[in-house]
Amino acid sequence: MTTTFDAIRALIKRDFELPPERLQRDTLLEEIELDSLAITELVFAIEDEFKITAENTIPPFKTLGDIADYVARLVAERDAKPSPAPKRAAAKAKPTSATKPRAAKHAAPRANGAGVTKPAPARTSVSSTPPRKSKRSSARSNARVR
Amino acid sequence: MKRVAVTGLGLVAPGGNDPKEFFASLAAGRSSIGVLEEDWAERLATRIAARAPFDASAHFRGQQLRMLDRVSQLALVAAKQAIASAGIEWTDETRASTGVFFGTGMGGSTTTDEGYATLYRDGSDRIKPFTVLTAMNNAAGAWIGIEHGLTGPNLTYSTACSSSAVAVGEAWLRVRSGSAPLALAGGAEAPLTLGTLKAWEALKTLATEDPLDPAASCKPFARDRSGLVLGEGAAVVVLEDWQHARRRGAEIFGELVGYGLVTDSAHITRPSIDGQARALDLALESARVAPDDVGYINAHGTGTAANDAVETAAIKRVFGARAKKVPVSSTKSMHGHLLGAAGAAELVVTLLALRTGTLPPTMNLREPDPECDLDYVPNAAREGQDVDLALTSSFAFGGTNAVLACRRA
Repeated sequence: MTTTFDAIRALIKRDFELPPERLQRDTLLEEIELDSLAITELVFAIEDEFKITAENTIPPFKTLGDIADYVARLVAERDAKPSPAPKRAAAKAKPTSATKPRAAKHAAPRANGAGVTKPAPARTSVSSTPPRKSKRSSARSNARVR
Repeated sequence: MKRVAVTGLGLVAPGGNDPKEFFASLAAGRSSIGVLEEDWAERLATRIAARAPFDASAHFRGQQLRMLDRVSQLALVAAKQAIASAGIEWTDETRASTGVFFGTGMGGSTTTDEGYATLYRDGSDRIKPFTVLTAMNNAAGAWIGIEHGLTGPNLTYSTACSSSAVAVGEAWLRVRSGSAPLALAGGAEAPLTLGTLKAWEALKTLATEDPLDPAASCKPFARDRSGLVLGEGAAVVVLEDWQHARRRGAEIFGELVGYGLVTDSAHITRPSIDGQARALDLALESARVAPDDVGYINAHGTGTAANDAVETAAIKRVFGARAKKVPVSSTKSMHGHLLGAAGAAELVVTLLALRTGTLPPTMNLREPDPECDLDYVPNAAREGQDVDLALTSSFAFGGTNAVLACRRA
């Protein structure tokens, strides 16, 4: 739990330029002026950092501790279900791994691995198409870059 | 009807980070067109464009920057200058009635480009969370309203190359009618991205690079003109009820006296003599002046084969025998085509030309096109001119033709 919170604290410090001493578990988000858009941005960064996917509706967090608890729950849920379906998708998606370093290079500075490493649980239904697409686009962009 | 004063000027554009610096650069005949240095520019057939000398980090901090496309950054800085130069002390009442009338052709095109690059080039689904908010066309105008707490109408006009001329014209109608004593009007464009430049390149409208001097690639009205050069920038003016301005002792930079707005509705790109002439006529009519009163025209003058010949013919139709006696110049030869910001930026140029008596030149006009036979103020500014009334024209893809008429204060 402490590590989850510390990691979130580091993200907030980096993206919102807030001193760490103001960032405690019971710190109210309004105290540090993190509005709904800032939270959306923070959750985006958290998804990259923790390799999780937040739910479609972000809960109404009040404190930084609420965010940490939420993230901890999603991480636990992710770890609890190593279902075979995503594995298959991951195996099939292997060709995309070739694009990973590129993605990291071109994506926003904050993107650790640009999120492509995120397993694609929701993608199962279209698992055969994305790899092919990625392959094509990577070949084409190689030609372009030179 | 109220008289409408221009009491504030703000601008960030190729050649200057404020109106004065910009105008001085144009009056000196200095081109701000150059070769794009970015790696991606290698993929362009022609790497030339006009960059504004603008460093966003000098104006915005990290968190703010992530929320602002370059188009909004330029817009916010220009608006801040305009408001500062107008010396407005806001009250709850003036804030509530003041609107923002803004023009942009392509909105947050850097954001759009980056979003597609992430999605299609990188194969990543991680598009930035503020992509919608930074790319949307009305973001720049909205941010201006938010920063200054202006809660009147906040409208974004998108009529391609005439966007900000239309924005200024529509704001003028409001102030003239007496519905508000103040209005902010202008436009911004930041189109220098690979995607946008490639799209323009595909349309075959961009100038080829001058082999001897890239800065001289835009050659309006010249026989060897080859197209337009894209540029980025923003310009904002404060329009104010004349009496309101006088009462508070504001400095008046000029008077906006007329606005002509018509649409070709004939062809999506091809300009029309009839459409341009009608817009010029209407501007004169709304200003209640005659063609003989006009002492300078800041032309649309893009440097494309089609525009410059048609614009010349339209001026001849409106001005008749006197056409060749009216100085007409295209400053796009130096600052490039600012698209949605062009109308407002060129209004600033026109107002400063009236105020200083210096008519900025059309540069790179060595060999005139026989079809373009007016006085284009070729290659050197004309100083000491006693000009009272001037027009500035903006003619757009989509056929929206807008002409603004202004008078020296």
